[in-house]
Formats: sequence, structure tokens, C-alpha cells
Amino acid sequence: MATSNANTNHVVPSKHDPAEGLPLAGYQGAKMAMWLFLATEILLFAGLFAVYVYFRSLEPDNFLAGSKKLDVIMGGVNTVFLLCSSLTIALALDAVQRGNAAKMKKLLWTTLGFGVAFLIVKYFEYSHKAHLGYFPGMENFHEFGRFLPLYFMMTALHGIHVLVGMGCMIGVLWFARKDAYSEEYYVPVENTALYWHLVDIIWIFLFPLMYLI
Amino acid sequence: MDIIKGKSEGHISPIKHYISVIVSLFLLTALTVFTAKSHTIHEAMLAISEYGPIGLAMIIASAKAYLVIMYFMHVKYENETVRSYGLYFPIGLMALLIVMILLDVHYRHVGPIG
Repeated sequence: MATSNANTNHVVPSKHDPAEGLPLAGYQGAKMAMWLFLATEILLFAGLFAVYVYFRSLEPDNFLAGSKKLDVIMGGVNTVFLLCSSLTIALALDAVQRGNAAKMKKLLWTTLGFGVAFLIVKYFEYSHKAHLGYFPGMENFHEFGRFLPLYFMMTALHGIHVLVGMGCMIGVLWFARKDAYSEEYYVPVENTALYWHLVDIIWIFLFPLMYLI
Repeated sequence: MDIIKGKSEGHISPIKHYISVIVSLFLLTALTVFTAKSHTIHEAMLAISEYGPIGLAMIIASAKAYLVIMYFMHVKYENETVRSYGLYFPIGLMALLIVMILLDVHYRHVGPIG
């Protein structure tokens, strides 16, 4: 218009989604933020994997002897539990994406069950180690040099991540009571699933490094 | 809050993809236990290199992680921004860190390997 002045440049409240057209706003932005957090988690464990590489290079015999003391059956069962839980939480996200919140809740409870099962097996493993005097602070803790300290450090940090992931799932289930999630909005469900998959991936690497080789 | 609550529009995969992935993950788990515990395979890997067995286990673990990342975490369907900052960047840094440490322990002449 020929008579336009500065006033016409004022921002008019839009009825459109404010995130529309911006690649990193709204749903995409929330997911991007989660991936940046996952990147810091990868780097947290990267430090410990680097320590593993260094210590194993220094004392390969201790690491071989130490890994033979771990129970492959228990570690293998825990691997299967975590893989199954990864499937059930992926299916939980799939259910809510298709608009089935009731199925999502059932699958999240199943995932929580696998998480509890993982921690129970871990408890029996740790108590067996304590029985043999391998637990931190006990007389045989340094029998395999730096292997057992690193084993407890990495598996305990991973165990804390399992607990945090289960806490997130309980949070999602809490809000899902009031039907907070639908095929229109499921960011917390997806971010919890992403976190749980990361926990699974870390175990995928910990299992062979600690139990098998 | 409105911005965060924008419409969720993630990728929806067919259920059969998830089933194929979990079956592959179980098979790869069985494979890594078998190859690590079989005396013949262990010796064959050691004949290739002193790092043979650990290398094989890490290749199988990477294949499992690839399946989880691509299909369970839907990275196969993500945009390049998520892939770069969320995945390639931290994995690249981790690789850099581990390569530098390996170079250090091998060429500093400390420890049994040096």
C-alpha cells in the first residue's frame, strides 16, 4: 500500500503454529535438544571407554583373567532383557504415534518390568562378587589390577542410567493417566524411548568388553 | 510451552521392521557369545592379530548398535542436523580420543605392549 507506515510492521498475533516453517522449533527442536543431551551422554561414556582401552593396553593379562571371573550367563540374560526392553519401548512409541495410548501404557509397564529384571540380575551379580571379596573396599578388589575397579565404575554408572530411564518411564506413565499423550503430541514418550535406547546401546558394548574378551 | 507442544510428527515404521531388528539383535548376541567362547574361532582370530578377538566382538557390537540407532531410534528417517550434532559429532570425538590413546600406548614404549 502506498500509505504504509511503520505501524504496519507490528507483529500481528498469528493463529498459526508459531513453530511452523522453522526447522528447529516445536517438535523438531525438542527432539534436537534430546539428541544434544544424548551426545553428552555418549561423550561421558566415551571417556570411560577410552580409560578401558588404556588400562587394557597396560595390563592385558589382568583384563583376560578378570573377565573370566564374570558370569557370562547372567550378563547374557541381562543383554536379552535390555534388548527386549528396547523393543517394547520402541513399540510403545509406535503405539502412541498410531493414537493407541492404552497400548502405549501396557508396553511401558512391560519395559519397566524388563528394567526391574535387569537390576535384579545385577543385584545377584554384585552380591556374588561381594561374597568373593571382589566388591570395592574388600580384600580381593585389586586381585585383577585395574579390571574390577573399572568393571564396577562402568556397570554402576550404567545401572544409574537404567534407574534414571525407569524414572522417566514412571513420569510418562504418571502424565499418561490424564491422557497427556496422543498421536498429536508425544515428545516426552519419544525422548524417554531415545534415552532408553542409549542405555541399551551402552550395554551392547559393555557386555562383550567386560564379560567376553 | 506452545512451541514445545507443536504437533509431533515423527516417522512411523511398519511393525515388521521392529520384529526383524529384534530377531537380528538376538542372532548377533548369540554370535558374539559363540565366537568369543569357541576355542577354534578364538585361536583363528588371535592368528590374524593380537587384537583379533576384541576386534571381532567390537564389529558385532557396532552392528547391533547400528540396528538400534537406525531402526529403534529412527535415525534412518532423521534430518541431517540431528544426525550430525547428535550422532556423527560425538562418535567422531570418541573415535579421535580412542585413536590418540592407542597411538600413545603403542609408541611411548610403556607397558607390556610398547
